[in-house]
Amino acid sequence: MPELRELLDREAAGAAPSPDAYPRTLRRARRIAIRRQIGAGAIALALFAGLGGSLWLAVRSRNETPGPAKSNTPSVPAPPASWEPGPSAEDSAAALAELPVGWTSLSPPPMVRVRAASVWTGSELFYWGGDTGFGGTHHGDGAMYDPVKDAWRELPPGPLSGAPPRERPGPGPR
Amino acid sequence: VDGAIGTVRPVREEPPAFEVFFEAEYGRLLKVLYLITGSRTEAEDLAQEAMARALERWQRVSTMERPGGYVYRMALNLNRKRLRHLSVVARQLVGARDREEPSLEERTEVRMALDSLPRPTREALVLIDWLGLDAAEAGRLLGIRPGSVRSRVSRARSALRDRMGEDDA
Repeated sequence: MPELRELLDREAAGAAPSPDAYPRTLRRARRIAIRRQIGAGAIALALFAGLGGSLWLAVRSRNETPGPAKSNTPSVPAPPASWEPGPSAEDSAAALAELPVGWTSLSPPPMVRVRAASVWTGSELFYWGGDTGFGGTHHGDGAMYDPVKDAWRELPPGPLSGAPPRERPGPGPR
Repeated sequence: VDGAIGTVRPVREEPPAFEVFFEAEYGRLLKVLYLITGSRTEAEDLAQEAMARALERWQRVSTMERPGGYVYRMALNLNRKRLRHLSVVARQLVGARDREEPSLEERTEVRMALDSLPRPTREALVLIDWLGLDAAEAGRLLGIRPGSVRSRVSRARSALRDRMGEDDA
């Protein structure tokens, strides 16, 4: 058996470089450089987009932070400057104790409603909502009645319409 | 073919021009890859790709102690990557295509013996016995220890001897 290197040498002689090997290598290197540039550009674009998006989110969240949290309930309008809270329950209880026991007619309310809600708060009668007759307009306003002064004072406009909710619990499918 | 690869690295401040490096290394690289792959087409493709990648980073590669080592390592890695990506069927097809280059009659005994070796063993044999690298340098290119290189080469020589001996008999 001849020397191994000699045999390998003879075999390797079968691969001779082609004459255009160098220009082909140059062209290939240019293609690699272009691919690399495109890749770098894509990465830069992605980074830029990511950075821009992050900045936009940061600015947006900063602008939104001071405001109140959004909810589905309507916002409550501020009471008018002239509106004052009613008497405290303690004051009212003491004054009511001095009133004569028996029936008396009240001064007329500022609005007359049917199906209005009325609740004793401890010092005043809360009178709110209702409508002006069957199928009539529902009202979202009301008044407070002070029995000590026998006087009404109108409430500021409320956030609700006064109309009953459309969905009501029913018997369900039969 | 004696001597370490990358011998064109001159001892001077200026890095060598790529063209000079190409002229000195390309032919030898091509032959190494041909001995390993058994295909002129694949060898040329791998050699050009490795050289092109070296050129693309030439500013850095040219300042290395052995720019040739970089190119050989790159080419060997590209070949392994190529083989990994080929499915078993595709590999068989490529093998069939490669064998069409030299006809069956033209295929030398050495070629067939080389093809019968596993790829890692073949790489070690070619780098040591044909390119003339020492075990340490071949180990650096292949990413293995010099002892493993020597063991692979020993196995390859033994297998070749057996095969060539059988054919002679």
